[in-house]
Amino acid sequence: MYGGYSERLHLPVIIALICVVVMFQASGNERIQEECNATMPPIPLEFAMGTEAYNEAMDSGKYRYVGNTKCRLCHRKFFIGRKKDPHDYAMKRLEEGGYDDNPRCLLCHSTGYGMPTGFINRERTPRLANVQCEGCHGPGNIHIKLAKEKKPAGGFLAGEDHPERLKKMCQSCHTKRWNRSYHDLHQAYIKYRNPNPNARRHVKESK
Amino acid sequence: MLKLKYNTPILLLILVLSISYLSFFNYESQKKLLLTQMKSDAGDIVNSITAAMIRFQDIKSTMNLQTLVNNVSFGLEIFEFRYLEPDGIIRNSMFKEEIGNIYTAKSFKQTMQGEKNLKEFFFETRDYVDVMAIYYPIYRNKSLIGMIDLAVDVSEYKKIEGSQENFALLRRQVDIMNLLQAIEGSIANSLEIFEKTDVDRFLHAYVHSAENIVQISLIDVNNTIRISSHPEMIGKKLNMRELPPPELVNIEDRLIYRTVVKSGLLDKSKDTQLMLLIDASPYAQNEQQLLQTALVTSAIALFFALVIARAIYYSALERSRSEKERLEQLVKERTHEIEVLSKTDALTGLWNRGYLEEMLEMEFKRAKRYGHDISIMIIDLDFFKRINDTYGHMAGDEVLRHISKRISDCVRETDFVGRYGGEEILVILPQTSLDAAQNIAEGIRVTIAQQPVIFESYTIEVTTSIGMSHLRQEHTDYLTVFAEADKALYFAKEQGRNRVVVFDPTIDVG
Repeated sequence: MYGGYSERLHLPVIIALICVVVMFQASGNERIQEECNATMPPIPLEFAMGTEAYNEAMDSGKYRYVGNTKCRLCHRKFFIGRKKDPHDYAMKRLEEGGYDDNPRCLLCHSTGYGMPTGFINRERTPRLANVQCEGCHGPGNIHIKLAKEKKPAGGFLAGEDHPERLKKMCQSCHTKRWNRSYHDLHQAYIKYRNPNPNARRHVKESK
Repeated sequence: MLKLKYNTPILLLILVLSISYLSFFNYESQKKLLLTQMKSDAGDIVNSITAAMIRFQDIKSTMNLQTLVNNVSFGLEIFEFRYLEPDGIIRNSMFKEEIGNIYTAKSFKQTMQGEKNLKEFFFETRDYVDVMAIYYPIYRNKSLIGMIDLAVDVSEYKKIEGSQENFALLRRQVDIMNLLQAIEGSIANSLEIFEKTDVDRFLHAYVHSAENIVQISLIDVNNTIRISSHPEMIGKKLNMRELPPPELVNIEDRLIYRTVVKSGLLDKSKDTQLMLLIDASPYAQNEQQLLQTALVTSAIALFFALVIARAIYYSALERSRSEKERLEQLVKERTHEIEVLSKTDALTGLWNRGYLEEMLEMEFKRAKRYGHDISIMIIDLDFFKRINDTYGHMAGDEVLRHISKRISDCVRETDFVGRYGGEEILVILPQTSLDAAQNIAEGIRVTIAQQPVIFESYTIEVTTSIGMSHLRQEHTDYLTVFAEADKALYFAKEQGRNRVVVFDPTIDVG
């Protein structure tokens, strides 16, 4: 929606689009107010896994966030593809509104905020800003360890092998209030299996 | 017989030809089979060599460097790490898929063209990320043998404004330099191991361990032997067009099977080739044996065909010879029979009239010339018509036969007895005086008259009248003599039959 297709559109369409954006901006402000007054949202992974399983996993101390440069070693196409995705601009949008120190915003606009080894702030954990790979899949250190030995490696708390959990990860942030990106969760889920979900023609990841 | 004589050799020839053809066909197909087998063997060998060499190169290239790359890329906050050869080939990288490719980054090209300095930090964007990178050269014996390409993510430093930025980056640069110096030592170390473990020696050992492999060589794009189990071959340029197709070749009196296959062993580009020479002497031996078998089979077939043909020829020859003899004998016998038949009388077996006349003429001429005597007598059965009428013609015939035999018994071997007419029998007695002839005639008459002829239940009394004459001075031919004898016979009949009458000019036949 914010991508680079506008050059293809005619002027009236562009004007209409700007109007819509401005309208949403206005309603966005209302939503922010609403959000600020609401109760604290849950940690996405906790929401997806259930409190009990989440606590157990975190208490074991085995899970650690590593940052997407490590993912890039094997999934370079995903790394490049997601560089153009709105998820990679999540922190920038917070900074624009001056909400980049609000915990309830950071829960969804960073990777692993509020969790051990997750995002703290831009200065201390610059590599975990934005919604990266681990933002949806959970800590990646176990996956990297397994990937050196076998493929597919698995090892994520919300990986491909747990599609229900992964969809819940989406739902935890894309709530009624904030969701304006998709109408059909499953379609979006399928779309995001591609390295570049916003490309016209989807490329497949080669391994 | 005639048909068989000409068909058999043709059949035998066809047989020999078919046996020869079959044995040579067998030889050819077996040969092809052997060759196919050797081809597949060669394929297996090539595969195992390729696998071994890939493993070898794997081990070589992963030695130290791969561990190093893994440790560096996973353990440290490093964005990109590569080891490049001076020509740009990526010898090793944290991205495994690009190993072997040519590094095409713009900054690398600039560095190699001298626009940027080696061993100097610079900033650029890689994969949408701001990085600080450096091409760190590795020298060995004062020549450039490779470069480390190392980049770190500096996007967060951009966020920090002010003088602190430079200081932080400088500190990072010092850290990276320290790391690179450590890596340089490690790379130098592993390169030393590279040199010690050379692939030629590996191939040499491989060839020595396998008995029938003669040579393994790797040929590069320019058809130059780059790696070989035979060190003297390295650097030689092969003219691939002049090389005969991958078949059997004679090299230094050895039959060698040579195969050249494409392989990406030298580098990733597919134009490099692997040449394999295999000892083909077992194949040659087998082929020789097969050829001998085919030849022997053909020779045996030919030998047997010749023996059979010879036997058939001789037996046919023998058979035709005996057949000819038999035919000749038969012809002789038949000729004689016909001859005898033409001269004799069918009923009595005596000479017939024609022969008698011939003989009369000849004997008379002979007698006249040499002055010899010759007598003739005409014997006539008395009342022969009556015998026929009384007892039947069968009886008449029997009487004639009987009388003829008795007459033949009475005369000498040199005399001619013949049936002249119905019941007239003529006897020519050469060199016989009339007196002697008269005695013989009397003997005949008496013999016949004394002994009746027995036919079935009848006893038939037969008597004969005999007229005689002999050659005298006044006779010019036998006809006169014969006429005289005939006259005498009539006289005898007139006189009352059953008597002998010698011609006398005085006798008068009424």
